[in-house]
Amino acid sequence: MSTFLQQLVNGISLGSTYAVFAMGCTLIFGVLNIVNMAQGAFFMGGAYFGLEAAQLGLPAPLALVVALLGGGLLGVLSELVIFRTLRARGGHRWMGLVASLALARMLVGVAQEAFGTQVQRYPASPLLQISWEFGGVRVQFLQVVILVVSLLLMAALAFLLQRSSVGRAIRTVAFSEDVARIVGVPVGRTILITFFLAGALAGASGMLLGNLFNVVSPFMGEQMLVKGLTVIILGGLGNVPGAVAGGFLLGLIEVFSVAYVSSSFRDAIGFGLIFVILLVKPNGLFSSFEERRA
Amino acid sequence: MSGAKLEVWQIAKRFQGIVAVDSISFTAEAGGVTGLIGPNGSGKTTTMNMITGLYTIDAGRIALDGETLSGCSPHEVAARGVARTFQNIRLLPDQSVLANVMLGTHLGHRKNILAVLARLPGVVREERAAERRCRALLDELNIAHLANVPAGDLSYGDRRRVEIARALATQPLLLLLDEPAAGMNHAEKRQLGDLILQIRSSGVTVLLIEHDIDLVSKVSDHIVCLNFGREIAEGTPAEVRASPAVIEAYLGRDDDA
Amino acid sequence: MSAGFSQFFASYSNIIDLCLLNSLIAYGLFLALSANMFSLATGGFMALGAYCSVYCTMELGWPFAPAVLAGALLAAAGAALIGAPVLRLRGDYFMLATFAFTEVIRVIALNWDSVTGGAIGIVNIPRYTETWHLALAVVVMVYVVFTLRRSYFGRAIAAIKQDDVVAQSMGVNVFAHRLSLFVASGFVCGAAGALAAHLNFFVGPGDFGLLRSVDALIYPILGGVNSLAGPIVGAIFTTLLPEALRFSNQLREILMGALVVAIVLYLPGGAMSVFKLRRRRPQTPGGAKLAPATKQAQS
Repeated sequence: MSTFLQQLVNGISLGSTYAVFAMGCTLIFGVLNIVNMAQGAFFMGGAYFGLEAAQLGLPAPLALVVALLGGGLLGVLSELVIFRTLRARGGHRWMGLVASLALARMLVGVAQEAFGTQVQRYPASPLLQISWEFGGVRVQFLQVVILVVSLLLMAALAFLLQRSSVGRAIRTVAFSEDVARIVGVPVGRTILITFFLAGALAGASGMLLGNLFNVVSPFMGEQMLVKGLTVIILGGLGNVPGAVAGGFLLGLIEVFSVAYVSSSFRDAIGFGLIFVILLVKPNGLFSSFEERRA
Repeated sequence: MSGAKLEVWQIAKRFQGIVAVDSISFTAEAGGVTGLIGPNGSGKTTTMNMITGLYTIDAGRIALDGETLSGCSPHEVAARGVARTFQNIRLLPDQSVLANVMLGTHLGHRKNILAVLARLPGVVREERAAERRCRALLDELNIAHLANVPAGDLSYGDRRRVEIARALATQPLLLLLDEPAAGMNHAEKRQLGDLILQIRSSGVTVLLIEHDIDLVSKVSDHIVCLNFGREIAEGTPAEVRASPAVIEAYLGRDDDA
Repeated sequence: MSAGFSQFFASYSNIIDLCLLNSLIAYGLFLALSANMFSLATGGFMALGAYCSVYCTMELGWPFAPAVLAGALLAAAGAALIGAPVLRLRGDYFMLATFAFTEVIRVIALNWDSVTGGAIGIVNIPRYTETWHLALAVVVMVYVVFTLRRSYFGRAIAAIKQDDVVAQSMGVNVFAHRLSLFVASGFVCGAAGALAAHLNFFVGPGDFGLLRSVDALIYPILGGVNSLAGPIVGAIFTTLLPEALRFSNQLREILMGALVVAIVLYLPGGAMSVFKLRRRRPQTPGGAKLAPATKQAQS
């Protein structure tokens, strides 16, 4: 029982970082319908921004703000340099994939140049070393902080999308760019803001996961991109609450399969399951929405 | 070549509970031109999409020369000899006029990929024959000089002609024309009318969906008028034009005045 | 002269092999892309071809040619198996499903130790792949694509790519055409995987992940998906670029990324579109575009 609870705690804190990252992915891939392969690199970039800030002696909350802003700026950069230009020139959306992947590699190269290929760690903080035991279940203060921060970010995004004029604009652009233009939504600026949000979420999750595993490396983005895509499948393309649920689900699946399933094919079963989900419910596990036969 | 008879019995289509077409029945006699008219949103294009298999029908039955057509997928419908044009012209804009029309010959080719890869003489002959046929078709439609122009560069009227040529290249028994006169000027409409009569004289059954009552009256043997997904009148052009229901549908009710 | 050539060949044969191999993969993807199938299954197909052929040569002692064929056929069978359900998915869901397929294969490769060697992979694979094998395969692919493009099949595929409703209305069985192209893509990528395994002495699960699949997409897209030569141009360019940038080991990745971005931005139709620029009008704004595309109103 205590193993179960322990894994539950670990899975929830891990899953919350996945959820934050996947919200950003689903905003770009699903809501804007753009394939941005650099999303993983923004995640890596955020981890380094946070790391640099922490090494400069900034307190952790400020370092997180730096990671958020840094990731967001990278997102804005990708829109301004690549996607906006491609749109203006009538490039196919496949070209966006190629260019964003090239951008991702550039960012990995820049990170290698600037920080070296060695794995780096966040400065040890006595506060984050604290942990409590509840009947054999160890809860780290770090895990609590990560969960709380993640939940705050989710709440902030939900508020932004549902209640603010920016959110209305994003939803209108997602529904139809032409309609948005007709009703006077500034389409270009709205897309830019969405890129900022997605980059910021990736950056924040980079710092959170970097702290959770205490590992930061230039190559951490690629695996995260795989996880982001997986969560999108679980949650449904463009479904933000689905991304949150899918993120937690993936975190729990990973942690529990390590703890309980001894079969060497556990991950294959997991991905096989995802494959089946795609076929049976292509709009994600958490949708009640039947896709129209087009 | 002789056309096929199209029979439609009480077909219906709902989209998410909204009735688009509600129990329509009519017959397009073999070798004749049948006009399907009605105001915007009356269910004309929905009816056409049901006949061509793009939409599944919720009720009723469609038959071509007595054999059931409903339930077939679009490519099967095409293989049965039904060709169509689109209301919003759908050509492949980057490709030449000839290449666009050649697509219509798809069904006429023997499907053998290995023979194609080996460029067997039979395959080459078939290709040449198809090309000759398409060029002859372009000639008949007075657009032979445009054969090598990208379809996207053509004028509106010429694009309509290319679409009709592509449909005719399938050697159809039944040709469905979806608002072919939309956006045409008076002279172009007159030419189109002549073209439809020319197609009719070659024996192909034509179902003409059109907004323009004058054009439909001129070329049709028989007219069916729809409004709000229902059939409100049917008969010869003169009968339909005299029908109070049709006049009301087109001119609007006078009650409020 | 001939000595000079053989010397040149000896020092660059690895690069030539790699260019040819990537060109082959590029044509495998080209088949899928030509019917609008944005496939991330390449990594999975290549893994199937590689592991199967290596198993045939090393465990079963088969000769090389049937082993490659077996690998290609297994990958084609995989494509046929997943193709039927996956092809019914629309747009990006197709992409995500093929991605999931690649991950399933990669994870199986990672864990089926007795056949795949697990995380360590298989080492000391005999080097059977000769340059001429690869060259022949590429030549065959160029011929196949060239011949198909000028047949009814090519016209049907071009129609499917631009407007599948039109294709259906002209009697094209869209599903059957796309499935056969997807299976052919699986076959070619499987063969490429088998040839790669017997070229590099080594296969491991890390060779066949998401990045492998995305790289494979980049070759034809960068070269131009509407041109016969596009896949070769894209593959050779992407393969040679890192070599050309060897002078600055430090900045190689960054320069490469910048160059690719520049090409994409200045030639959004792919490198081969250079030759069409003169007769092409500016793209219509309503045409295929990279866009936060209008979602179909799912009323």
